[in-house]
Amino acid sequence: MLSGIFASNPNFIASLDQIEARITRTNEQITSGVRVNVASDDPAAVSQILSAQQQIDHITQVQANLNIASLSAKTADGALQSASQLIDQLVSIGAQAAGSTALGTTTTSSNFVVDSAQPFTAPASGDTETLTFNIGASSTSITLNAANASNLQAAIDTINTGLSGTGITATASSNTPGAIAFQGSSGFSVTDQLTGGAAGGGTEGVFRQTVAAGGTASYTATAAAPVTSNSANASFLTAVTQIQQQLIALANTTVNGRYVFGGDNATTAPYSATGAGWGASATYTGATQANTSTISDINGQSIVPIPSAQQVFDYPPATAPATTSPLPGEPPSGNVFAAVGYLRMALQNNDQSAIQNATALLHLALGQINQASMTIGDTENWIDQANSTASTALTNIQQQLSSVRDTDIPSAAMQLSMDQTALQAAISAHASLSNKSLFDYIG
Amino acid sequence: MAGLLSGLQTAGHALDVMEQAMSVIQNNVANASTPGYAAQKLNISSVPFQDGGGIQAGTVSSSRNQYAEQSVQHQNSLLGTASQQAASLSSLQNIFNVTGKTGIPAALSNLYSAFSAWSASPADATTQQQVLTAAKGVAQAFNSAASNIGQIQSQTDRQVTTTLNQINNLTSQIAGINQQIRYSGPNDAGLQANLYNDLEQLSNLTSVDVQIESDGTATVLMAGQTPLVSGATQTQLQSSTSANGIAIMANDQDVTSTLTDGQLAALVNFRNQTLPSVVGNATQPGTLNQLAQAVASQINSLLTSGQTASGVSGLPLFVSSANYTINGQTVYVPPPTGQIETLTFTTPSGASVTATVNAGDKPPTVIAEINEQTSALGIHAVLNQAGTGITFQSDSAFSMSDTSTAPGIFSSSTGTYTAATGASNAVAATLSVNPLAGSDLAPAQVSGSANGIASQLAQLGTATNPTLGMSYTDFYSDIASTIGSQESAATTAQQTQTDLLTQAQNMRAQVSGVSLNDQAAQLLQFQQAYQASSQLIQVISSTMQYFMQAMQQI
Repeated sequence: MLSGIFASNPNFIASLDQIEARITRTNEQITSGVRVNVASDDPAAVSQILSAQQQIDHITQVQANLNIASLSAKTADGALQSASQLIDQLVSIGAQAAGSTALGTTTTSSNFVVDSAQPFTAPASGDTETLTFNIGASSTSITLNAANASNLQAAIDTINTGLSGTGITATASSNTPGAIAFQGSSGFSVTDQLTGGAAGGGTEGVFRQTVAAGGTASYTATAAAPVTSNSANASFLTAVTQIQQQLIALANTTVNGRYVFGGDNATTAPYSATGAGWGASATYTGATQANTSTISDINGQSIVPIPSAQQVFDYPPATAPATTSPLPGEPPSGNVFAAVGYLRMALQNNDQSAIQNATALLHLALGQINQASMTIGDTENWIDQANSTASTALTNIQQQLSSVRDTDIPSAAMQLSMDQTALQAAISAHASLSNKSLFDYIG
Repeated sequence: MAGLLSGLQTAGHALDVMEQAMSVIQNNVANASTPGYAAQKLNISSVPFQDGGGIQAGTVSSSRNQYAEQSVQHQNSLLGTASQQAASLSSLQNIFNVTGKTGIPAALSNLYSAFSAWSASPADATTQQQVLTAAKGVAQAFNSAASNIGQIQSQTDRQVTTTLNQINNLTSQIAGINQQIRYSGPNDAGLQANLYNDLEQLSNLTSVDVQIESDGTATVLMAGQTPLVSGATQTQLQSSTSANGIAIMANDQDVTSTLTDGQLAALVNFRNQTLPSVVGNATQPGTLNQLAQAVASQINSLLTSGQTASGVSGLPLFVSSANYTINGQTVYVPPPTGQIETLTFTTPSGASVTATVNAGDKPPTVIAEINEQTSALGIHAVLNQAGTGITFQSDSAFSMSDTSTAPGIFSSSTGTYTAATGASNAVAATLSVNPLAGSDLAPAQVSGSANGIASQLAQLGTATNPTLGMSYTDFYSDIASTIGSQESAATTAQQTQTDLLTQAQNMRAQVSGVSLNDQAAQLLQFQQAYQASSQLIQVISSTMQYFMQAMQQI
């Protein structure tokens, strides 16, 4: 026996410490299911683990993006199928109208009309809006403000009071909810002079002009001439108008609050039915004509998933004609809204030849819709393929991550068992060692 | 008769020697477990027969072996190094999460996922807000890492102070023992035990070279160069902290570079080398700051090259101490009617642009107007952190002159301002997100895809960062795995050194330890010799009795 009560104590304790450290670490690995909790557990595996985890996060987010795009594409595809059916109906209406014997027998006239086509917004406090109606050589001015035009009806009442005796009346627009229409038996124009107060300004008034605080804005609209329409075509016109509205609604289709044909700005409706454009069809309000927003797969490859509404329904671009009567020349072929508008104007003008031409234009517009539908079909296929690739890659990377990071439970359990056995054996062996010396026997 | 008397004297003297020998054994047994104690032995020699024969007691010699002591001290120093390295690196590596679930990796991954979601819906206010929230998460993750490392640095400084106190206490005790040795001589086993116990404790704290002088005192040198104890004189160690790290001073001399092994050397190396390599100091940015700067610069660069849906130039998302900055007054005041504030920005290369702030202009209009002019120079106007004033930022140096006398971005006085920059080693600690609105984020390329910039940002997570030369994930992994490798090596070294120290201690015990069996055997031997001498005295006494009785009868 050497120095001390038990010379082998330091060795024994050091060994016990090492065995217990191994047991603690193995326990952690088994309970957490993770082999690498800190970098020193396996420094060489850190890069693989973090890279795999980063790729998993990336792929998961790309999959989420693809799923949103897929839903949008499917919805867009459905919208285009509906649009295709509506255009078929228009073609049918055109064919019926072209063969109608009642055409040209009876006509009715409406008034001269200015439709603000914008929902009325009350002037801000301190701002003033002056409407000046020019009827021949005379003019009448009416001033609106926050007090006398606090809402649509108050504004109409104030205007009608001022227009008393002029032959012009203000009514709520039948085309645009919230807008004001002015009708007169003779031609007239109206100038809207908006003046911003020191603390006011904004987008407001009958024509919703934008004016800065302390600034002014002016707008003049000339009343459209009375439209001569064929009473026998009234039912056809009504049907065409309804289908126009349905087509606009389809162009403004949304998914989860996003306009699927919104192009570069999916949060704004692509079209507003303001009565402008070809045949009072629709007004494009999108950010850009073509959609440039792309969707990417996990490798960074990208496509433009869905054409914009203007690319689908309003291409090639068609400038609205200055007049609707007499009937202007044909719009560019392929433009859906222009074709519909042309049919509407052809019906209004009771122009048999134009009705037939409009029908031909609708056929071409149908081709445009079908082409867009094919493009979206390709997009759906691309998204499905990208999703499949992403799923495969995700599975592979998760397996790689698991093989590097996760605990091999059977091996760890075996190691734990061996270490516990070694610990017990060491303690037993140490306990069985004699701690007596010669002094115990020489008494 | 004279021979009998002489034999009686010899036997009696032998009993004294045996008692001394047994006294030494008793002392050995009593100190068997005393730290630093070495077994002692009474040297016994025979007396020449012509001088009366018998035995005589010599000096008490120690079994201490200097080679064995040095071996223990050396292994103890190495163990001190490895143990401290393992402890310090363990706390450091915990800051660098390697599961990807928390910390910097998770925050960065969240940000790039937010960019990806934003790229799919760039005009969506929700995805814009997600980007801003995730960016704040990244800034907080870097801030937290830098703060935690700062705490470790402070803790290390305190540990150095504590270790120096321990060293100074031990050297003070050794100096005191030396003084006692000078008075009582070099053979006092108790003093020697205390001396070597102190030396062994000291060797764990710092590497020492011990020279035993002729008078028995110990001269102790730290790392073979710096005298810690000479005779009764002790040299106090002190620490001095500066921007470059911590220095160890002895007699006003910087002895930091002489430190080799032991707990103190490991602490100083961790404080002056390991921590700065990560978090930087006056001479290097540190890998954590490099990562933060590279991430922020790449994202800012892309965003400022793009434009918003309304066609306004993009603004930087991140700001840090590494940016060159000019701060306007805390609260922006629009120039009064009839006044215009004119700002001229100039770079060191001489490039210059002028921006004007018109009367009544308010944010964000005023910011957009300025950026329209300054973006070409890489200078961006943003709201200050309070959201009340305007700040100008750039990755490069610039200056600005304000030639107007009206209040506006700056106060009413005209002036020239030079952009100030902070230290590159504080990027992680100061990284923050500009107070932007979601609509200030620029997803669109100029004359390109409406979500081109957002898509490029979404790909950054797996792309090579040009500044780092690798992806941010690989760069972060390098930081974490380097620390992990060092910790793992230190832990292995600690285990190895524990074994080596135990071996050295065992070897020393073999040479100079107290063997109870050996001491018991010697005790038996001296007991028997004592009994034999006693018996001899009894025989001589009986013989002398016999002769004396015989003489009386004659």
